[in-house]
Amino acid sequence: MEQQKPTILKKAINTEWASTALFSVFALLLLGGYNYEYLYKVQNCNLFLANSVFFNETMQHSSGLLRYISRYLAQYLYYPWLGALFMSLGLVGIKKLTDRLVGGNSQLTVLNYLPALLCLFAQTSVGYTLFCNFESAYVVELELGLAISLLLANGIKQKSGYGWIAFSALLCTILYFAIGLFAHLALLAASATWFHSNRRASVAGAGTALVLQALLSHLTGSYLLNEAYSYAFFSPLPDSAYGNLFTISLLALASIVLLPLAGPYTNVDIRHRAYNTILLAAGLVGVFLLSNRDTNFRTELRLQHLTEEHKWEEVIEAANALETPTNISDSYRFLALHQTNRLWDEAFKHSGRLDTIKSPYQDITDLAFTPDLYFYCSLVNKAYRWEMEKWVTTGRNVELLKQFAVYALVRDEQPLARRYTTLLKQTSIYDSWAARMEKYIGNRDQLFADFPSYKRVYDGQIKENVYTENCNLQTSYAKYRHPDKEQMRLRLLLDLYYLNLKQFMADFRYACDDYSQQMPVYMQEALTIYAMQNKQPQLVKMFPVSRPVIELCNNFFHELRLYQGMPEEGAKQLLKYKGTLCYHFAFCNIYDYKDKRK
Amino acid sequence: MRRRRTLLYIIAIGATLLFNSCSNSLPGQYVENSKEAPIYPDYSHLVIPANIAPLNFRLDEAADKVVARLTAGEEELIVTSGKDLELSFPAKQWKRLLEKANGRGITYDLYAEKGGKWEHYKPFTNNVSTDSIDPYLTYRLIEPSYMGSGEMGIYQFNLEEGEEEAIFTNHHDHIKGNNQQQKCMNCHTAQRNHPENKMFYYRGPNGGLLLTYNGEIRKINTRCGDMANPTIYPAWHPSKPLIAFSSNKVLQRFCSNDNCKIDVFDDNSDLVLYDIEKNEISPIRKTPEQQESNPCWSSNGEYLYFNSTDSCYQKSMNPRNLLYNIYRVRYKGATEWGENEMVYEAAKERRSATYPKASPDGKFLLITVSSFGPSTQTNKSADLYMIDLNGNKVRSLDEVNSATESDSYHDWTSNSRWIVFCSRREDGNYALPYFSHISDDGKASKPFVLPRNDSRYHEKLIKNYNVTEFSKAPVTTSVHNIQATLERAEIQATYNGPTVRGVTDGQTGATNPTKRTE
Repeated sequence: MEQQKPTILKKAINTEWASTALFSVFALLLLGGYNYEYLYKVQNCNLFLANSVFFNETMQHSSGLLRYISRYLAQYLYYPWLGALFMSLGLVGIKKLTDRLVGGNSQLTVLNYLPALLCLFAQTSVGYTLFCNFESAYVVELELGLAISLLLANGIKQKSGYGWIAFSALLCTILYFAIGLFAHLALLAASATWFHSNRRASVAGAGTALVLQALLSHLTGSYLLNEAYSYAFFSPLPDSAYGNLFTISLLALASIVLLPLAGPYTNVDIRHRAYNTILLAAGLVGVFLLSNRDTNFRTELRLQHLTEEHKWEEVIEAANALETPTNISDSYRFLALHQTNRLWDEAFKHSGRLDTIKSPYQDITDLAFTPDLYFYCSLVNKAYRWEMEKWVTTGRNVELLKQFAVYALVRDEQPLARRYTTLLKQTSIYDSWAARMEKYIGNRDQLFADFPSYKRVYDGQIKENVYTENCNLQTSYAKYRHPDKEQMRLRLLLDLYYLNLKQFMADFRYACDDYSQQMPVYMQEALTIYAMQNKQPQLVKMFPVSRPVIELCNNFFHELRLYQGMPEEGAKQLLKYKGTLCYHFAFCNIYDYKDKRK
Repeated sequence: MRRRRTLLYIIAIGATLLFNSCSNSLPGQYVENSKEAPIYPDYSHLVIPANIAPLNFRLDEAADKVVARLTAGEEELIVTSGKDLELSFPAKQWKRLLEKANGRGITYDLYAEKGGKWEHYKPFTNNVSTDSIDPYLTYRLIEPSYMGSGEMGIYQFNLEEGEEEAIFTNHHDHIKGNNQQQKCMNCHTAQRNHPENKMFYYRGPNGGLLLTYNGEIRKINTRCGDMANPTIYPAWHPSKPLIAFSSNKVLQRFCSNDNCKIDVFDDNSDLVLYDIEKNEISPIRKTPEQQESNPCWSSNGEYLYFNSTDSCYQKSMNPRNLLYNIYRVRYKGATEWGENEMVYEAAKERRSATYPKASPDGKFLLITVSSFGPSTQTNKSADLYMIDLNGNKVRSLDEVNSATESDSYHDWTSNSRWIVFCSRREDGNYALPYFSHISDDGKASKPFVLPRNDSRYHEKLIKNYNVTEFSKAPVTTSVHNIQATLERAEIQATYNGPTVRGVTDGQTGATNPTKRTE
């Protein structure tokens, strides 16, 4: 029977490079495109300092050298596309090394993509965990560790005698102090390749690897730094407390041991290739769908990034583009409106049902943004304090160092600013930034001229010294006895934002003289709502509240009655009122610290 | 062929080594600079102990290279820097130099190459004291944070060899399921005459007082009876198996706009005595109208010094009005104590005196004086003061105090000739340990910072030193041993004293026994 010639499309699908190209382009787009802000944040949550103290501290971990190199490389995620390119190439490398490890015609099967796919899945599943007590360079560390482990396993698998196993075990023991678990994983994976040819050697190799891992992680725990038993054993994987991420990473490691057991595949023909390419495409779609695709998460990262660069218009635009704003996105929008003098006019324009962060690590997630909010609200000491809390609870990182330097410059704490810029000069990315900021030490006027946002922060500081323990922004503001007109305006706005009409009226009593002639629309609405609720119509007559505002409030609350007990339906039907304080009061669910504590 | 190549390599390496050793020579031609060389850390015009590790430093101005010539009598040490201008003195030669200079001075001649021309700076001298320094310094390395603890540990530094070793860190703890970052370690101290007896706290789940006594380590819960607070600041009796503690409830508040970002103060505090052999706690001072803290034994163990305020903290009051005085009380043996005796009434001068530390020779009491409160490490006004116990004369130790930053956490060597203290003078945030020599009449020499091999070490370390304490012997308890003790159940101390707290009636002055409420 004459064999049918394959079409050009079939040829393309059937060739090995087609699936490799498909995989690498997908990884590049998923990492560099879809997770652009996430990669930038990963480098911001990372710290690498080119000095001996940092080196020694890092080397005290069982996977010290791997961690050190990963932290170095993670710095370059500052350029997310470049970082994504290298990470994609690394993943392709993992695939190729898996092919070599499994042997036979194994490059033809989609199964060999499993380690690389799981690695990519782990890298893109971090999400809000990134803010927790977590090594952000982990996304690089896992990939690099897997690649080294595969490389080593390919070397070890060449022979299988007992002498060779002993030599390999010794080598892995030495390497354990540099790359941790990945050393023994290599021996385990190599042993798996001997399973079909030399079962005794395979069992001996695997047993040695497992015993060594258990033994060394326990013994070295007394002088190497480890987080907990689980972390000591699985270092450098994330702690098992990180659930999904831990499981996915473990599966990635397990896959390079299990695949050689299944292979080598010798019966793969050309038709299977086509199926495999289709299966690979399905796998890629699966990774995309199962990875962290939380729009809120990515928007919040973008808002933080834009705030760092003082791109206020883009902050407003990005926050407004979010369909369901979060308390964090709203806060950044407020900061940007404040910086662009539009706060009082547009505060509630995007108001709606707020989506609170869906994170099991709520406290830490809040802490990730709190210092920014306090700093741009001119509460610099408070920002510094929370920054320090972040430093010790979520780990040291370059973002915090930058902020410490800026806070010290704004407060004119010159030796402290120099300390932080000196440290930043030891990084690969921020050395020039640090050198530039160093010029502002002792030259704060120039700093303010070049960065008007910092000047605004400085000017907005309340000179009165008040003392607080743990309290939110509203309570902090409430502690000031002598705020000026602008600060009072912010305080009133915050009262309204927090739906606290009673506090608004209490504060308004101190500020009402400033509004005897003219008052912003939101204030007029607030007075009208209060008058309606408390049956005090004379209140709106005492202040310049316009008739359209009174009518608007009347109409809104009249229509609202129709949707009693149906808040979601009401929010939809009364969209024409969106942007008014009435709408904000009726439908906004402000995140409440006290409620959370309950 | 191969042999010839190997020979060439050997010659090349030998030539390089020879060239490098030859480069440790003084420049032939130079111009005189009338200034002294600016160096960092400032190790000039010091009194230094004869057993200190090399005091490495760097030239703190632009130059291509520096050569240092150190001379003590006929002994000479010449060292050349690299481009980093770092001058590192080889340990053996440094020791030989100190031996030669013992009781006399080491003269430093520094030459800097700038654009191909050499300059010779005005020489300076460091005097080498015959008084040796206790060879070990223990301290805690901690982030200068507020509530969270972060990575921290207790370390010991061999002052003679210049080497640091971790005694225990909270990342050594293997106990699973706890928040690692919130495990705090503090208040380490050793018994003066038996330095092998030591203690420190490990706070948090599975924590307790880790006490090494007669070679045995145990975990003890010292909170017992009606004690409202745990024991905190310890003072080990110089010779008996007794530790005096203050039992404090520590609060913090954060200043919105002050340079001093945080106030740390006590809500209430008392003094208790822990008898190690009986495993028993008894009250020393248990007064609701006074807040006693920071106990310290006199050199012979006859008196217990402490600081106390009679303006107890209440929620409505400003903690900056908390002013402490220094008192002492005679120890009569067992659980018997005398009356309070005023040592220094700082409150009368609107100041607060805390952290008394008696010199082992019984002549002086070193204290911290600040504008308010019991806690001094975050208070920029904190300075060291010396009380001459022969006549109770008090003076500010201006020789060592920084102008604007906190100086606190001081300690004496066993020969009463050296003090160590923590100062935030570098940048206002990160405290470093400084040493100073104390003369017979209580005068202090210019302080110098803890020497490290790399003069830039302290710039690279993002940690704070605190609770620095001298020791004659190293801590030998292994990390494994500490870990094992942490995993064991704690031993509960028993309470020997009244289970109610005396509350003085404001009108009659009578003491009514009333149960204490938190």
